[in-house]
Amino acid sequence: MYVDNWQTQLRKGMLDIVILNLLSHGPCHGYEMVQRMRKIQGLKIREGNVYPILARLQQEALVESETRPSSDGPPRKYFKLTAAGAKTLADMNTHWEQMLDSIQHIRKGDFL
Amino acid sequence: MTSEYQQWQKLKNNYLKQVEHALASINHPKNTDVLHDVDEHLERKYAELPPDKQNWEGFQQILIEMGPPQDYAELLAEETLSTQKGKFSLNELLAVVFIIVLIAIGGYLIYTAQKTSMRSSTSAAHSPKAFEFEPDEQVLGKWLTIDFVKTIDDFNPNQKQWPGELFLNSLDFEDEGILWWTNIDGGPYKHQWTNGKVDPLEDRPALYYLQNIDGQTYLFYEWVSGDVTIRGKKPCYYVLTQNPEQAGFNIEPPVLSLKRNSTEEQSPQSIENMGKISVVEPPLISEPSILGKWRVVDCVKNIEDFDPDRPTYKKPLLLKELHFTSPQILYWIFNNNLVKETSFTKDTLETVKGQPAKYFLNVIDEREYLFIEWITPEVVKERKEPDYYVLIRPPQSCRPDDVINELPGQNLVINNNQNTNPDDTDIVGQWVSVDFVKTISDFQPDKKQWAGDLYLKNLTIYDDGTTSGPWTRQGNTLWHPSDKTHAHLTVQSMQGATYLFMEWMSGDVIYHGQKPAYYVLKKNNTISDIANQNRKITIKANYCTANYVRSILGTPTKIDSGGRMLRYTNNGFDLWFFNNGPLSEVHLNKGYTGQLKTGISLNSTKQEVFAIYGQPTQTVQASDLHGKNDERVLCQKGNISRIYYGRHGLIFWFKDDFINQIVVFKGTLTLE
Repeated sequence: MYVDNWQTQLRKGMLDIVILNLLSHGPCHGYEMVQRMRKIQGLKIREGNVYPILARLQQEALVESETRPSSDGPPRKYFKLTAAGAKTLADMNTHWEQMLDSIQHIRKGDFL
Repeated sequence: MTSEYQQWQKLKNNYLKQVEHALASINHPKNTDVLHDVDEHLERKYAELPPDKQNWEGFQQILIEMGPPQDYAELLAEETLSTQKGKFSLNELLAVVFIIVLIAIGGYLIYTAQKTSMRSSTSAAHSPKAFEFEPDEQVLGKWLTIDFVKTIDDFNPNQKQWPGELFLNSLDFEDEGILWWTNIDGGPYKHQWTNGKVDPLEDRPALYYLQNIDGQTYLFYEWVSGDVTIRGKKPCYYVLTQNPEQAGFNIEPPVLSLKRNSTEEQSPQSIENMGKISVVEPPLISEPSILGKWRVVDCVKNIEDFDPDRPTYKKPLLLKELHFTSPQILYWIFNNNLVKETSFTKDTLETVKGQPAKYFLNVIDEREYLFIEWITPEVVKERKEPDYYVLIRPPQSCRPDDVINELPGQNLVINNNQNTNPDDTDIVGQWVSVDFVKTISDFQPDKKQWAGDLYLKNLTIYDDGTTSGPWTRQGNTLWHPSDKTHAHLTVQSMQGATYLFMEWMSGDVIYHGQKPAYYVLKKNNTISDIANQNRKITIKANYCTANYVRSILGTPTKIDSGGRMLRYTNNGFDLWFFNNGPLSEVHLNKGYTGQLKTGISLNSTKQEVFAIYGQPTQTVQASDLHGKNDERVLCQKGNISRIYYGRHGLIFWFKDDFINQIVVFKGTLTLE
């Protein structure tokens, strides 16, 4: 039970960096983003979760959107990184790498 | 609409209601965007559901996969994680630690979804601000709604007051301040209560009162609508009982639709006082001056802030257009092309969230502007003053400015010469979508490849390069000005029919470099085919309706003013119709190549007009030239002038010394 709860929190906490990294590969609409994230083992995205994150990232001006026609239905909203978003993502990824590295040291007992 | 789809719509709307409710708990400007995005996502999930999964279980699975509604508020709330600050929260640091541990033990990262019921997940998530709970033993338990009254004194256990549907179904008061709320859209929705109050943390809690009438206890629950929080009106009351069978009147079963029944007599006080219900139960009051299309030009804090020359709102506005149509249907067109349908009545419209919003017309610098209140959750919940969206009628869709003159007029024969470039005959014309294929060679006339609906229904390509869609034709391509794309066109004859293959420049093509698929459109007929039919259109003839005209002239370039105006750009005229009636006027514009039977055309001069139809009896200066229908009086404003010849059924508009537009409101239009 504890692990379940922890995983839920973990998933939510990771969504920002996951979404920003996804968008770093090019504009994407929400539905497509969800399909891609579902293929990532362990992420186990809840489909609705991306939209509030995207909205918040838009509010922070890290992501912007525009509407484009779609091949099989109404026009879709595409999301893409802004310049500020790309810079923030770079900072986040750097921090993430540092954290990974630090924890590896801790696990190996390098600090002892 | 299939029963499965109806069932899906109901489940989906319930889910969206819960999301909306959850989002209302936070103050975030993107709440509406999230709702729209989730709505679109759900519709797409439904569209992709295999036929054997289109049942209740399949629909539930979609909603479970979306996650609990409270997640949206938690994830959208700013305090969750601030990427802008570049810091990680304690939770995230812990998360990082734990994910490494998991990686180390073999990539064990499996999330086991908790498919808890909506109710249990609701109670587990998102703990709002605490409040001091004061118990009330008498109110505990489930209460069922039996009536809705303006004041408590109005309630009569033997005579139901409210004639329509009751929005609130029940209230279930539990220990420790938990209240479960159900309405005709679904639920239960979690609320809070304490002694005498529901939602005690709101700026305006709803008060409740218990009253014993003829030995029966009734709960009177304040209905805190927008009229209460925004306009400071007194609340109405839902009346509930724990023993509905002892009430003197029968309770109507829950009604699953909020649609108005226009045949029912409406309670007059409902408009102002009923909040959400008032919007869907209004008396139908005709408001012809508002009918038609309105385009958003600005959003202002205060009405007096609006300056037509200096729009204050810099960012793209959420709303793009409003279309007021008869009977009382209002279409909301958002910038993401989402279209929502609500209703309106005199002075009030229903927002997409079911809230009442006031609207009014204002004339500034001789131009008509529509102001509508923008009712956000903050306006409702925090009693903030609403902003105002400002809209104008698009310039090309001005309403007819003249009434039909009843004087007998002479028939006007209007020649309408079509100049079709023979080189374009393959492409120019009306096309109807028949399929959507990956490659041209995939198309088979007798076997449709695309299983779903075709988004593009039809397309008319005119010989002047315009089309019925957003494109303009440049040779064998269609140029989309906002997408900046060229879609290549290929014409092929197959099995005796002509097909147009149009590259579809979707986002996948633009962004991901994928090859475009093709819309396949079948030739209907050419513009010259239509013109050569030599049919007559007579103004005011009963048979001459918009549908009749369209059967002759084909799909118009543009439809406006709620279907009352059909624009045929290629022909150079606009056709205006009475509301749900016959043709009322023909507006001949620049580009019209025909002439009146007197020989007057768009190239004629003012003096030629005067020579044939009569010199002006007087010339007057006017601040507004519209509606100046004094016979043979020339009205002037700057270099624009207008003269009315009622006996001939004609109005001429001039710019300097030349005709700018001819309005014909009597006679017959013959396509020759």
